[in-house]
Amino acid sequence: MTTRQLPAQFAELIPLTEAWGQETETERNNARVTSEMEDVQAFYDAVMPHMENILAFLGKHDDTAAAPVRNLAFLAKSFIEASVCVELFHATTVPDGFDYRRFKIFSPT
Amino acid sequence: MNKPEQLRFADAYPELHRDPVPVEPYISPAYFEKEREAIFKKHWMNVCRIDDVPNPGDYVVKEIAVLRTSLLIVHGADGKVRAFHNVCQHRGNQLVADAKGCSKFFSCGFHGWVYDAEGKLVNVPDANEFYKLDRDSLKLKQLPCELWNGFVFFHPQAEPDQPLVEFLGELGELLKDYPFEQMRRVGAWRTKVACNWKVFIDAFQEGYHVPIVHRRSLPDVYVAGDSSSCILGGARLYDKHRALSTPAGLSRNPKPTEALVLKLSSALTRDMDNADSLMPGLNPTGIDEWAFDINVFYPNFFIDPSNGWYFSYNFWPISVNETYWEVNIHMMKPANLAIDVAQEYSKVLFRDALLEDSSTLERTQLGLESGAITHLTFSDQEIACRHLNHVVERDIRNAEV
Repeated sequence: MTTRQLPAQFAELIPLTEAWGQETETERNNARVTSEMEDVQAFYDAVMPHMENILAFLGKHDDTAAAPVRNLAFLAKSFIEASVCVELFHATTVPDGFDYRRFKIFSPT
Repeated sequence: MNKPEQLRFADAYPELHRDPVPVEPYISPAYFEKEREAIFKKHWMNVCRIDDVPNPGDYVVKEIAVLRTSLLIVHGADGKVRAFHNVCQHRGNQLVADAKGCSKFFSCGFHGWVYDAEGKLVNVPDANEFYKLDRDSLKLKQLPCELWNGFVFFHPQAEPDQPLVEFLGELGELLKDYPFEQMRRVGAWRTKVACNWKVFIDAFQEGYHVPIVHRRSLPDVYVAGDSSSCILGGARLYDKHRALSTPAGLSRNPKPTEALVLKLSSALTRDMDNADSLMPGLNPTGIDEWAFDINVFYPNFFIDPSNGWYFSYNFWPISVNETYWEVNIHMMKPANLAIDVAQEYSKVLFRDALLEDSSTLERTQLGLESGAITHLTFSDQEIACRHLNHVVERDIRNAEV
């Protein structure tokens, strides 16, 4: 895997794009459920302090934006996956939940 | 808005008894056969949305196990959406093998008979070898198909008892101006679960389970006031359809990420707007602390809308104890990428909450099939489950007359 470009002011987050920030829900969720909780927690901790700035920045762009901007949105969506693990489930998968492998994702993005 | 009086829902529906409900309809193969005939062969059912076939030539194939058929839904060159049995009129081979695509013609993979998007037989190889080929009687078998608010419905009978709009009735009328068309699908999930279709539906038409099943994903989200229970408001039972409203805990403290996204967008957990700017068709009984509505169209289709998003469920029985489930969630088209990310929070949380819901289904079916209980003891909060049983039983009884 390789890293993806991000807008200049978020350059310090570029190393995180190697593991996080895939373009589809299927890929982002797969990264989450196949990771160790400590890695999900580390990703969450690294991005959380930037989230307010990331959302303010993304608020000035739409889906016609250049690739680095869209990559930042993908990274933020991976952060969303991580956030429910850290803030709600304290696990990478839903505790006592239905087998996620049987729950097929057909989401458009 | 006025708080509804604290009556029992059942007081308004004296035709529903209050006794325990038999388990038999959830586990009996013979009963399932009756349901197939009396219910699934006799009602309008939603099969997809116009967004699944947006342009002329677009098609989807849907396997409808309970009808033992495969449906071909096609957007015709004339702009009309049609439903056909996906069966070649020659030797009965299933015509289209792909789940979806775009084509002006459909060519059978067996002997090459070709149909157009209106179902007309347009080419037969070596046609002069047939004794008498009446092309008009060899069109694809079409089923009644109608659009309502972008939802594609079909009817399994050539001559439906009533038009779609009449069947959707008051509940359809309530939702007719909700802005479905302004929304886009953001999430779609599919699964097959080893449970009866009514076990499945029942799990999504009451709030009693919420504090237990969703104690991790949605703690204190769908509770109102000082309550720790999810007490539904405004149960409305129609002839066959039914609707409920879910309460919202407006005074609770959101989680850190939720707090960030709530500044940008309505979320699954809370509507950022106040109640005077509700979209048409929402919170019809005017409950004070409101989250979303649960609208159940008989026999197998839910539209659960809120202020800026809605999700839908289609429950497709396969056998007495297997059901295929389609879930979609739609949200307002985002003005920018920050709102797009904010909406992802609701989508992910919703998906994970569904994994919690689904965890009970197969265990419930196994429990029922064990024979250890013969009746289900429904509370007033589970009146929708009672109503479903009532309507199913009445349809079967009427079909036997």
